[in-house]
Amino acid sequence: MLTGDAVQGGIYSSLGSDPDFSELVEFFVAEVPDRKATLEASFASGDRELLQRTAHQIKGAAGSYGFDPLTPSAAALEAAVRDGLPRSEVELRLRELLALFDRLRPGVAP
Amino acid sequence: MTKCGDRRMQVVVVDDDPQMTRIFVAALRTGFGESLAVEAFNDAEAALARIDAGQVDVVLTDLDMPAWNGLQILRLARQRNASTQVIVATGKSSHGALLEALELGAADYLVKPVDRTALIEVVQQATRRVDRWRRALAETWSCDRGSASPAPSSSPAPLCATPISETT
Repeated sequence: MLTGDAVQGGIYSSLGSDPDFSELVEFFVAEVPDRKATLEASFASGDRELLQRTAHQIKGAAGSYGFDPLTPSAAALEAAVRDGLPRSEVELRLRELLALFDRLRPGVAP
Repeated sequence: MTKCGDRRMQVVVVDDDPQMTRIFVAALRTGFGESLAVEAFNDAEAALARIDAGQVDVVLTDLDMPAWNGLQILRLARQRNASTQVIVATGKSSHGALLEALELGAADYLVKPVDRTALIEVVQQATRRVDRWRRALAETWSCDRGSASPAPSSSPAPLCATPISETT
């Protein structure tokens, strides 16, 4: 569980120090704005299919890139959309995932 | 001199998310170097066309994709060549699709998020099974006869291929 400073601090990939994967991790972080934009736009427009799809992809990809803390959050968003939870519940989970996205950092934890 | 039918293992990776195909390809490269020829597809229809063209030894496909799903890719790959090893990748919540994939002949599966070590291990096992197919066929087909007749379409095309790894 993330607490204290860790909650406010950056999230670094467990693959960030791996020379075979560090460049891919940087690429993943560089694409965060696009992912966020897709999530926000699909939520705003009520495109539940795209929102669920994007959350599903993040659920699979984030952990594969060593950003494990995103996986349960993306899974929660996907489930909320799939199960037809009220818009306010979906938004809550979306905001949680977006906040985690904001904390992703390339490279190695200092 | 090139050996008859000698070629690298052909691997097709299919996932609608480019971030996933990227990490799959990178992991396979670190695990196998140049011994595998890996082609990645984010469009299932293009992947199906590639598989239908033949000479695919291993397919690694996501199960849950829009439009075409991994089960269709699995079916085609198995119809096209019985020796093609199909590995399916799926989320933890997709038990039904995974069971169906295994019933349809999937060789193995990976659960997303995918662990690199697990990925390399299942692909290693798959290439070993393909290699055993090749060896078995090589015992009945002689490449030394020059222009040997092509193998049946349901068999691995390359006979006498050099194994990419030691079998135990």
